[in-house]
Amino acid sequence: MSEANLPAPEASGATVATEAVVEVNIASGDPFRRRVVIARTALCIGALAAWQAAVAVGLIDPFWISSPYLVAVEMWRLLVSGELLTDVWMTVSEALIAFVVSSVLGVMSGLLLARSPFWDDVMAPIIVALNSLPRIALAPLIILWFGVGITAKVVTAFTLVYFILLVNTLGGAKNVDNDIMTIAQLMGASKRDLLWKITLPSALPWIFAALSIALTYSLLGVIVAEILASNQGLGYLIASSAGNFNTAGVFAALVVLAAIAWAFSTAMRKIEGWLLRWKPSVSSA
Amino acid sequence: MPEPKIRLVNIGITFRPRDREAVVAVQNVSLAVEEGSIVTIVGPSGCGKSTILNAVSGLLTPSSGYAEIGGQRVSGIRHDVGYMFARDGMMPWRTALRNVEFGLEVRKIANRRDVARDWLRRVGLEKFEDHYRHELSQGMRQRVAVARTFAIDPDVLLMDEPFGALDSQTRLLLQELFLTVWESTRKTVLFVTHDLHEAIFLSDVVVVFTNRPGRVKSVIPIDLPRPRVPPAELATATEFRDIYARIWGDLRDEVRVFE
Repeated sequence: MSEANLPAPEASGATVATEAVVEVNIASGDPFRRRVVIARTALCIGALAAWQAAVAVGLIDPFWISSPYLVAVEMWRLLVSGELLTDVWMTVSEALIAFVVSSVLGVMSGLLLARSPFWDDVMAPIIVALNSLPRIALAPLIILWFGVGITAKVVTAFTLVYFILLVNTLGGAKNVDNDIMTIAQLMGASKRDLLWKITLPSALPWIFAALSIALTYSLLGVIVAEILASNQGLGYLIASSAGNFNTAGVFAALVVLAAIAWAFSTAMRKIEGWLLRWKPSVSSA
Repeated sequence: MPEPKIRLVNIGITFRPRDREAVVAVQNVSLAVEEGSIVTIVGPSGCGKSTILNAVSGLLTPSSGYAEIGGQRVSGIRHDVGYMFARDGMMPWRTALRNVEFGLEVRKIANRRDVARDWLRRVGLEKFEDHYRHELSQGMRQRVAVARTFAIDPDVLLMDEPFGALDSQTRLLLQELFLTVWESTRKTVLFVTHDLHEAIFLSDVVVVFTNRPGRVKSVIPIDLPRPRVPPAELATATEFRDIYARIWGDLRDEVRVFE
């Protein structure tokens, strides 16, 4: 056996690898990051100051538009009374349940459809039709069927999220590299191996693209259902505050919602960055 | 005379696309590959070279005739063949090591990690086992493919222009690497290329195919001693140039049809 004189790997390969690392370092270089953070903070503070100033000089009426100070006071009141935490808990748990249920079912349906060209063809126009329907319009009907409880919220969000996952998973599963499939089959991979070790990981970037949208839409579906019929949750807080002309309460709920949405998407990006660490272009920021 | 490892018997393959005319890709091809030898098919583009490999692997059922591996008629996808293309077919979501492991994994082989690591070392990539596809050069990806193909210890190797997408220097290195690895395992190889130099360097027998429909035009034994001298040196040898001239003489008329 003569292994001693094996030709060495081409030098160019090593350079490719190092170059990629260098590039990442430049993109996340310190001075640039710092300037971004400073500008961002300044922008937010500036906007809040302008809002407060406009109210202070009497340019706008706080009755309609409220003011940062009044919103902060209202948030504090809601926090101390415990009302805010109950609402946040309600909305977040509903949204997460809807997200998980819809995503799991959506991914499973997508993978299933990808296995059968016949059913894919049968379902394609039906899925497009359902997916184009403004499903928020179904919310009143869903509330009629499922009442004011948690089920109606989850179902409303489900109608939005399920199809996003289904369509993207299907797209990803149908785009598996033919060479990889062929090689795997020739190596003796079973149908199960092909699904779990080839189709699913290969569709993962598509699935994740859908998941980050899905999280936003879960929240949207739940909030809409809460606004329409509920006695708890941030959607209810918005609806009841608006009904009482409490604009500060509406804004307080919106601020909290924005924070939740931000936390969701940050968590999602972290998970994505880890699971798709094999992708050249994914940033884990 | 021992039974050949791979046998093609009167294979004909006709493609019938739905709204176009039927295309006869391959006609009446009979061919034998002795156990432990490398046989290379050369021919003009579109002469059905790759189609032949697909028939041997069972990816495709011939319209007439049949293929045999080890005296057994091919029907349905074979799991005892190693297959390599010009494209590396690496799974981008797996590291180099886990790519080599894949075949062993689906065959439920226990010490797969060790086997895979050993093969990566043999193709000179021991320092790159944790690298993903995008972190490897073309040549390195093809090295992974070589390791992956040999790791499952297949009876037969089917190579479809495996080094065709590489730059010419890398290709010389990979041809040499492949032959070194092959010398240590002596698998039966059916190879397809349009690179005559590669065909002569690697093979025991070169089979020249005609223009479409592909038929066997000539069978040329390559009586160069093994282990072969590196391809770059081989190119200057007199025997090499004689063989080259003979193959090119047969091939030229087939290629010319397109010009």
